[in-house]
Amino acid sequence: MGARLLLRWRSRSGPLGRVVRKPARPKIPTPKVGEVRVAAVQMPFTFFGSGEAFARELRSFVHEASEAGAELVVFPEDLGTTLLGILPGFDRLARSGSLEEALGSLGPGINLSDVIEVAGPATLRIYETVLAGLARSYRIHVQGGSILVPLDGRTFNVAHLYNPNGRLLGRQPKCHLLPLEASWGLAAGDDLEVLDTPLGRLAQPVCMDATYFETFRILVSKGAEIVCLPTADPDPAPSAWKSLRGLWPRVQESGVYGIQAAMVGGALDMSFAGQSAIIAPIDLTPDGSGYLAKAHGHLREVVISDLDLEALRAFREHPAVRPNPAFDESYFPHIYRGFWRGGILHDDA
Amino acid sequence: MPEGLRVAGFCLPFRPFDGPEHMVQDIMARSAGFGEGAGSFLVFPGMYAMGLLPTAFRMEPVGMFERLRAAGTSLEKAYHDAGSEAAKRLHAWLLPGSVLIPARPGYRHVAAIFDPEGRVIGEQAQTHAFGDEVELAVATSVATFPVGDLHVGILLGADPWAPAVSRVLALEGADLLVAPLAPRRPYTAERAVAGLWQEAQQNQVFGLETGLTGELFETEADGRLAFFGPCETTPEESGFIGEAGYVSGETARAHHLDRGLLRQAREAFPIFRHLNPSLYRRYLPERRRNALP
Repeated sequence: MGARLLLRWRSRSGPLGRVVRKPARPKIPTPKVGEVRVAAVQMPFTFFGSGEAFARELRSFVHEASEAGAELVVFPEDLGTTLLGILPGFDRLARSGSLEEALGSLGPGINLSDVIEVAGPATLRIYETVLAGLARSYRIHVQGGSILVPLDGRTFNVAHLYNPNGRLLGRQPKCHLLPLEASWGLAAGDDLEVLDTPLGRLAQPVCMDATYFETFRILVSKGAEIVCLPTADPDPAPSAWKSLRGLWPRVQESGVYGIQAAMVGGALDMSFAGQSAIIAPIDLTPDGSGYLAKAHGHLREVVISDLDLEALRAFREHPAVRPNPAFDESYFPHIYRGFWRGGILHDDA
Repeated sequence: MPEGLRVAGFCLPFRPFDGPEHMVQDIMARSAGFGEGAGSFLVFPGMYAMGLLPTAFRMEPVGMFERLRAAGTSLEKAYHDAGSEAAKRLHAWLLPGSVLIPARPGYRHVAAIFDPEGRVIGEQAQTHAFGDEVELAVATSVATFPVGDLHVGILLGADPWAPAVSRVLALEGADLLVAPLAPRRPYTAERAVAGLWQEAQQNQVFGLETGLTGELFETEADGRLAFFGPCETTPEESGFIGEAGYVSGETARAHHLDRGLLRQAREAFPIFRHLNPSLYRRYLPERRRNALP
């Protein structure tokens, strides 16, 4: 009870409001007609000991994106996890050699979702206050990466999108978990949403969702044009080829724009690598690479590019590969029948 | 010997054949050193067998489809005769490229696998058309075929860029997806990577892309050759087996594909275990309006 009270005090909105309301000089974006300027944040992971520190760091990214004329800024996955630093006694936990050891020091059988059950309401309050406040102050759409949220006894990894009035437009639970996340006790979402905005029709699946072509098929069927993808890839040194997996091929097969915002760095025994990037169908990129912009390395950066929605819509009028509805009817969704309950590889049968 | 199969792939220029025996001789010559013994599977490029289109039809100044219709069933028969005979002489599994077959309406694009006794063990037709393949009659189903220790699926034409096809084949047990292609120029590395390379990644299977090159009727083919596997199973995590990239020009390569490596990759990172069937059940197949391949 004491910890919950302390967390409630640490997540009060007053001090946060002062940070996000700090005088800003909103820049009026001047994109070409039919174009949207977007920003992908690449952010080193760190645990913030206070909501004010979290707000100051996020504000620096939004300020940079706004100064560059961006109308949408996308943050990485696990943005909300950085707020676990507000937990009472967190300094002691942070000295653990690994996440497993840190959780073990809290008691036998404790996993991450148990911690989120206690800390989640406070971290979510800070997260929502800061992101909504920044969106309002800078008059910008903010995709707030993701945060672990307790709901009905389960914990989800949830993306959030705010409009320039600071209003929450939508929440998107991650629908495909990493094996590691499953071991933490997280639950997967079972719906995908596309949001109508003045910028275009936006979706915000999370990281591993882009490993599965099904995610993008569903999103495009619901009208998605711009897909924001917060990521935190727990691979300390992926090859350049491995980095091509995920959003890049999904964009190519789906005909959408993709904005990948990557968490980098790490804490405890977790390290993240990835490069924030803005991805388009090969035919819509000047050099044919499928990239409109890409981070230069694995450090702090804000990646900016313009998305031409008119060009995308024209491109989609003439798909390179034609759908085969009879083929789809033959297999979907019953091809997944053997996987209804947790998945069976044919090898295992 | 680890479980798996020795597989050879070819990148070749298109050439006409005087008849099935001529094509058999070509296969034998190109397979020297690759195909001896029943432990091998040889995969020739897409449209390679179109060289069998009878010379009289091939040279007439009419479109390819008119020539196809004029050839009737003779091309399909010549393809089977050549494939069967070459597989027997090599005593190997063989996919002797692909061939177009007249259909009503239009045409079908098919490829077959022959066993070391010369029997057809499976035939697959292209399931998804490129935007301009208006006369192609597409198939509505796919299958996997047992080739030695591996289950093999065949991707033709646009199929490597239609992710539903590879997914279905992988869920039905494919270990190896072979794509005998004749891609039209320009065929950049990026377009290639967006095809079978990434299908090998998202489905944790082996892949083999073979390619036809040079002038092919009214178009120019720009094929290449590469073996793929999940990044975790390949040197420097490139997803390429052998050279870390595509090989072009008139060339051939062979590799032993170890099924044990696939199993390790799937156990270490079980992508299919985290499929979300309840989500897919709600939305797939999607509404036609915005359907994707």
